Amino acid sequence: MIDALLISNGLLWLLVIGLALTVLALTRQIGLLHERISPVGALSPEAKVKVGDPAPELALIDLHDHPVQIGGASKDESRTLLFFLSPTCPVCDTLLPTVERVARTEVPRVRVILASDGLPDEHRAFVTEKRISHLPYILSAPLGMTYGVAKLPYAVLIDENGIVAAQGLVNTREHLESLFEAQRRGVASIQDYLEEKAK
Amino acid sequence: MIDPVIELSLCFALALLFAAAAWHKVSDRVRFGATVGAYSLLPPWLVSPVARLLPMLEAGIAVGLVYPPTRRAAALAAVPLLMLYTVAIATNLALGRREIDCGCFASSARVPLSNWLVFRNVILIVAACVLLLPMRTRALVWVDGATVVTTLTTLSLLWATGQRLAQTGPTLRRFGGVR
Repeated sequence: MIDALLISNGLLWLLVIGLALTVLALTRQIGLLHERISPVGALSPEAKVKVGDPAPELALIDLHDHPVQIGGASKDESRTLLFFLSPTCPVCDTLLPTVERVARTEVPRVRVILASDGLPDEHRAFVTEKRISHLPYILSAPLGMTYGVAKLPYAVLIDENGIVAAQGLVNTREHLESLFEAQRRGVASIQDYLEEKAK
Repeated sequence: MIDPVIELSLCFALALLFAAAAWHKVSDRVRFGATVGAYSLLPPWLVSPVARLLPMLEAGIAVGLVYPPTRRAAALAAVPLLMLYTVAIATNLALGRREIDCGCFASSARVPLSNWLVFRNVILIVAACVLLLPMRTRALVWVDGATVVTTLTTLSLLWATGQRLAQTGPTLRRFGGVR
């Protein structure tokens, strides 16, 4: 009997070592995953208003006839996310829930402003359909031109002092979040951050 | 002197392995033929006969390992077969052909060649060699039965995990990245 137990114990130890080695191999693969899958950032093309510049101060009227102030120091310590979209752009559609969530949950608070241009009727129908009437919606071609928006959806994050903190073409939730991450880390874009790290 | 429990665990584990390998090769004969060709170690006219012969050898070894009187002979046959596989894999690795499928098991689990496969085969060769050592005789009790069963279960699971790792590892390494 004692022989049987000794053998059983010996085999058990061998199997435990085998298991431990397998776990080690697993952790190595997880490490590789971490290294190889780097974060993604919003594409920041050469913009008219650069990151770090003060956002041009604009006083506009939104689709619901409320005055909206863009740029300049915020009175209530909130940041501003300018989200340029178009009713005909499907990616903008899929990103809208994320933008709304950002408006609700980001800390410190983010004031989301949707921006587009074109005929008001088309946009009113879009606002009703997407149930986004609680967000300011600006129709203004000059606003887009001020920031040099060429492709949609485009987002600009302005900090509480009215300085452009991050901006870029946002196609996914990760891209949008990268703007906030870039501000938090004090870099112009996640691409810059990765380049810094690579050096 | 090898304890009978170790002998039983090893020979059943190897028998399971060879049976599974033979089954996968027979069930997808076309693919296995292509794999043997991809190793490009044989002249073309030999590829098809060898692709037929290998699963038969594996099945024979599997049956031989389970039946006590033929156990030693089967283990003796397993060693050169495993060595042949190892040399074939190592040669292709040395030539830099890592992308070909190992062809060891099912087609759903494509395992590219890697150093790990060579290491794994060396372990299998050692296991087969252990079966050739002289055996000790002692009366078996119920604990021994439990040991054999649990060892086989754990080894099968470890084997499956190893296969997965061998499959995902090279894929991971191929990922592009910052570097």
